[in-house]
Amino acid sequence: MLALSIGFGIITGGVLALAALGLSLLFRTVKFINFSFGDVLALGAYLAFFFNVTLGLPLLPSVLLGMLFTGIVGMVIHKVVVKPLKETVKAGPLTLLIATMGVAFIIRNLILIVWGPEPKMYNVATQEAMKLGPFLITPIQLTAILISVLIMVLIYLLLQYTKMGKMIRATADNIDLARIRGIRTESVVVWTWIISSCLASLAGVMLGLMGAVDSHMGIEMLLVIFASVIMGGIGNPYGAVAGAMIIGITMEVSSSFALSEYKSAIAYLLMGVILLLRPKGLFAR
Amino acid sequence: MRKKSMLKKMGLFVFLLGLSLVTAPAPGMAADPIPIGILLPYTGPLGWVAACQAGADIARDEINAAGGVLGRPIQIFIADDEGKSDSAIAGEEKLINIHKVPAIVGPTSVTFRSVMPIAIKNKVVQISPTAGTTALDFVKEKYVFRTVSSDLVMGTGMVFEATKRGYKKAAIFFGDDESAQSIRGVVVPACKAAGISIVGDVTFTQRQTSYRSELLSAFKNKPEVIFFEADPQTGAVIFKQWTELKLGGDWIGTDFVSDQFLQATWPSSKGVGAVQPAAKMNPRNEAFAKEVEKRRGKPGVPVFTVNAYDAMMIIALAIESAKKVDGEALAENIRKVANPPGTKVYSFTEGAKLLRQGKKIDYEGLAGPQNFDQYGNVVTSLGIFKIEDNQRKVLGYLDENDFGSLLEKVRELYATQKK
Repeated sequence: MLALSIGFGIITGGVLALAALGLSLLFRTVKFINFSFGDVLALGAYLAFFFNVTLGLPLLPSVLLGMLFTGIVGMVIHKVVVKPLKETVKAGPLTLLIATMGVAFIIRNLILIVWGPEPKMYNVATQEAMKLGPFLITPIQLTAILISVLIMVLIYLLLQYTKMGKMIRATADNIDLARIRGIRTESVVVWTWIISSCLASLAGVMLGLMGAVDSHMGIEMLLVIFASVIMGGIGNPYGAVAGAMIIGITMEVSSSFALSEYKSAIAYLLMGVILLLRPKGLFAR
Repeated sequence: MRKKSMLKKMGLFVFLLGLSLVTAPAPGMAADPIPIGILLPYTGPLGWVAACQAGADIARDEINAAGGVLGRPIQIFIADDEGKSDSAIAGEEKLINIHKVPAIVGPTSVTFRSVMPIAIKNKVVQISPTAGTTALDFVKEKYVFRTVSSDLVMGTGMVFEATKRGYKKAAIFFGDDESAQSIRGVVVPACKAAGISIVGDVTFTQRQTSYRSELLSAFKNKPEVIFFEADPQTGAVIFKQWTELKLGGDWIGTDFVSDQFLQATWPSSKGVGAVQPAAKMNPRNEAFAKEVEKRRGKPGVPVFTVNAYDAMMIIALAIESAKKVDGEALAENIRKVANPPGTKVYSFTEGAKLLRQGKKIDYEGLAGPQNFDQYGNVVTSLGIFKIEDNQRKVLGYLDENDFGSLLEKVRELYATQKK
């Protein structure tokens, strides 16, 4: 039972990790909390639903198109809301947090207007779980976990070994210095918004595949995503991934001990304890 | 300049024409409408409940077609409580203070106790077609009524259905909200009274991304039947993961197994059952069902629709009996028109005619006899449903005659438990 719950936790944590990675990456570069991230995640899931069910495309191209359009939405949020606020009124992190909260409301209500309040399902048959060592997992969940791992590796490689990655890291460390050194920081910020939104979209699709796509899925996940990011150390993408796995596993294991209604509370309690011991998070630099 | 003046005149004409259309009474009715409020969750996780408003709309149209109440048409004003206390309070205040309603149909179990003090303070009748919560079972307030049975009846009906199917081992699987916990609080003593042992007991938080560990806990000791309540979004995740884990078992749910639940959970929920308020089929109810289907443009009568119809009918007849539009007089006349003694009536036309002749009436609802006890509760019939072929199919009906003895035992156990 414990092994099974750990397996279920890895499935949940894997999806959560993608979202946490996206949010952490963005925070590291833009230095404020993007409160619309959860609703961007939901929008990504709905866009993939649109391509998959409404237009009848296979799942993979639907997911890719969903990510592409969500990436564009991320760029639009930056260009239309964040950048003008920063440039015209020199908005600080708190103002931007509240502004993105407004964006979140707009996205959620647009979703309700377009798709209605009923949950939606992708055009994918429900699969039966198979035994994989001590774990029970469906082929689609296994694929989702493998894709999550692959994406995380790709992000690591992007950040560590590509010119773009170096520019992102330089901009995140000191945007003024990066600009002086000739880095087109605006372009870096735009790309970070796009990558972060694409990751949110992918996490949204994976959540939808595990249950259903629903207009509140983003806002309900947001607290858990924040908890993962904080636990791992704000602005540390790898810490966010570890935080997500810890939270996913904690929630599932506590459910198997008949503490289901407290599973979120237990995860937050654990976060509190970790922050008491390591105030900057597990992997803070 | 002349053009501008012409435009102004035309604008004024259009404005006045529009105004006259807005305030124009229904044909044949010169008097001011009587405002009646409806407070339901039109949005949010309980948004599916609001489909029952169709019942109140049909009742209003029948009443208005029959000449209205005291010669005045009924006008419905709605407010969205979003299934949340703060929105429910705002909606209740809006209906009472802006629209000056003497009665409000709604809300659900989740918000009823938040708005109840406001209704009592303002002497407005609060009559819910949906709030089955056992928290209202012994609330003795002049202005509080329900046209739907307490969860005590539904929970007992669920367990009675399990005994009919010969089950001896059950698991209970309920959310941590008031509605679900209210029914859980009935199912536990009902299982005890019916000799069913509870081998799994899980309380979960709605809207999580995974219920796999919860499902394994509930199924650990191989229950034959699982009593449950989950909203459509949560149900979508639960039944998908239940299918993935190949856990088996027979599920019996509550009134949450609605059309929206079906839409969200099909095909994973194939074979899932429910016992919930439903009107027994007879020619009157069949005609009503046809009207509902015509208005909705799709088959099926949403849960609580008959209860909403009955609520509106009882309000109208009580105003007719009180001979004035006043919350206090209305509250005093509800039992007079709905309970025996009196001539049994089945429509507003019949009831109003007898009341105008000074006779006593006993309104018989679509959902059941609608006889209010001292706490404003009624006992209405239940339907047994099963999800098959992407539909909620009716397998049969239950009423107090079927499970009355079990209900008595449960009432005793429940009362002891409460003490």
